[in-house]
Amino acid sequence: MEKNNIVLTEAVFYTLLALHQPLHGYGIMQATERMSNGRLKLSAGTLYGALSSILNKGWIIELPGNEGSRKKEYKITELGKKVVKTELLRLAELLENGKKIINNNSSQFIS
Amino acid sequence: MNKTVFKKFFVWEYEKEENWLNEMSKKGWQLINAQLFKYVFEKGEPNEYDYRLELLDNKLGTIKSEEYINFLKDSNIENVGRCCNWIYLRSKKSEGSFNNENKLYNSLIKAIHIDNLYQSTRNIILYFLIFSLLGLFLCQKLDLNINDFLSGFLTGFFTGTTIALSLFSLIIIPITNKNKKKITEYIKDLSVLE
Repeated sequence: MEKNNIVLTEAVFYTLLALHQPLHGYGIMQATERMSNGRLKLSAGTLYGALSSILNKGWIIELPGNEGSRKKEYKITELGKKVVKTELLRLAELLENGKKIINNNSSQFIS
Repeated sequence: MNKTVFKKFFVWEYEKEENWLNEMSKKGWQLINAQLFKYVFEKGEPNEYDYRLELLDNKLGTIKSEEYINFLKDSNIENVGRCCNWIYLRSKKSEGSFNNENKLYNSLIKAIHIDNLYQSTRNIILYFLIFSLLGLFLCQKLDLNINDFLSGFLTGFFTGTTIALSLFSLIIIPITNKNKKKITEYIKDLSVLE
């Protein structure tokens, strides 16, 4: 897996976070909006595309449906959890470097 | 109170069509059914709904497409009509389901789906063109043992189809290229913004 070079989109990152518990599509949208304090509202089209793509990658699985319900539920896999952890390291690096440059106001990192 | 409107839009005029549906919504006419050139509106509140046109991915089978439409329904987006692979979607303005959209990404997906459509159309034209040219060639070169009327008719027919198909390609090629340019622009933007 090319996990060292993966950069997740916001939509995928929040979807993977939300799917640490089983949720259906609309549940993911609500969870994402809640986690980001209303900043990130996923559109149905974007989410549908993201879900089918990360299903193919094996980062999430579709749970066997309850009878009488046409809403599909999804959950993150072990592989998916690994991807999130790797992404967290990358984000931490971004954050750290960003803070260093912006806060220190020193030019040692720029030159 | 309902009213039916007959109006034609070409495939590449989907933005114009979408704008028109939203203009109608502003006037209080809410689309409840759409087929080829035929639109049925219902009198409702002005600006009650937002309308969107989407082209389904032709690689999605019927079941997958239904699944997608159901998925949209769960997030309060209603499918009110369908024409080939185009679906007419609406959502209550108050719920604002369309406002969340990643516009750049959606425009790119739309342009790619339309490109697929143009490509399959272009392929069909090419096949027919080859068929016509072959027919024309056979009429000219082979001494068909048939009467003058039939061979004259066949020559005329194949000449006609060849000219018609060539003209059609002349129309469709610039449209396809314009759409391709759009795709390139979107991809350039995507390298900076998500």
